[in-house]
Amino acid sequence: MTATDKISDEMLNAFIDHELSDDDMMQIYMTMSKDSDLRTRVCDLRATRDLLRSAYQIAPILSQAQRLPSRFPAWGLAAMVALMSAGGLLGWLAYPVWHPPAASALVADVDQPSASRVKVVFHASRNDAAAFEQILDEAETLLAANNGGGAANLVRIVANGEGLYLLSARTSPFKHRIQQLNAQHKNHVVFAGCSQTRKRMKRERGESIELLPEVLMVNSGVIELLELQEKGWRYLPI
Amino acid sequence: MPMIPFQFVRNSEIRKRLAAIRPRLYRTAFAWTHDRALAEDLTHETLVKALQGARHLRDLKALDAWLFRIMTNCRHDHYRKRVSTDDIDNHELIDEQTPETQSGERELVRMVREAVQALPETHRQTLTLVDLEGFSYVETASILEVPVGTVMSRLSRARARLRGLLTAAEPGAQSQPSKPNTARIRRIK
Repeated sequence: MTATDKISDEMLNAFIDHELSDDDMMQIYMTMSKDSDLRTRVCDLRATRDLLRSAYQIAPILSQAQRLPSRFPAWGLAAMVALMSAGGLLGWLAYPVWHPPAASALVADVDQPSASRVKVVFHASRNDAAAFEQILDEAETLLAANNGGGAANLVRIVANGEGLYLLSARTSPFKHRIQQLNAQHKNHVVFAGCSQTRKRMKRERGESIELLPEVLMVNSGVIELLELQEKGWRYLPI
Repeated sequence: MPMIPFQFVRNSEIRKRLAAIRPRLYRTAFAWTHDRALAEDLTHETLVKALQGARHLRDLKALDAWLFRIMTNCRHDHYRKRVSTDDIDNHELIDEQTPETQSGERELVRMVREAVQALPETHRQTLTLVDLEGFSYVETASILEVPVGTVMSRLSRARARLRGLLTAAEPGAQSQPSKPNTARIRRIK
């Protein structure tokens, strides 16, 4: 029996993965120096692992198939410090239960000429018309403040899950209002629907949801929300 | 200066890390399923569940392993529901004209991916968590909820099987049976 035979495949795999103790690692190194078969086994294992890594090294496409248009200018870091104090208990902390944000808190600073631009992404994940109406109210208030000049407030309304019905051409009770908001503030408001939800509804319920023409499709609503927050947008869910 | 709640800071940190880890989740989901649409679904579901459960995560150091465990469960759910992977919408999303298909390595990449796809699901998951994601054996055992010994044996068998499949799949392997198989992988590398 050679030294190679004494070392199991599991041990050798653990060796190339650096999962063995220092003593065991050293023992195998010493055996390798005298045993060409063992060196071959180690070499083959490493080659297999490297091949696997190389096969998935090239990102196999993670797409936001239909991105939101980049019609908004680049933004700075300043974003709603006042909102963090007034609305700080909202957003993630309140998820999934949404309490309507204090409208006065949302607009308090934007009424002041020196206020920084406000960027808010509202998230509709439930088919709750009353809550959505409040979102539209808040959005309208924020957008109306843009008429005073200065940095414009930006609003996005992202719907996924059951919330997609609120943007559906067939079922949305807010068709006219969405159309109106979009027409009046088209450079500052975006309605976005989640393509993943749409696909899932079709697959699992056989339901085909057509979205309002004002609604842009993003591949994943959740990912869109993550990315916006990463860029400093304030997140308010229902 | 308003006080920023600790929880808000923590959630902000989680959001940043979720955004950063998303490509890794997708890569692993793709390696498990070899279906871009399904991999996107799994990534999406994982993030949704992570967001919903983020408040329950006590130790942020465990975030990565926790996410991959969620994705493992999502994958199991897909099996249980027997979700069709032949959805017409999925086909629409698959774009074969990718940089990888245009590179000179595409044949090798295709060969390796086919070999990985031929592995049993449990072996494939173990292999990708260790080799692609760099999780330790203990972490992998925790993600897959199996003993460390099972991780070791699965990994060992998976690599051996993968090597065997690659050796067999190498062009010319059938027509030149007299060539020693042991040299082929090393030559590809």
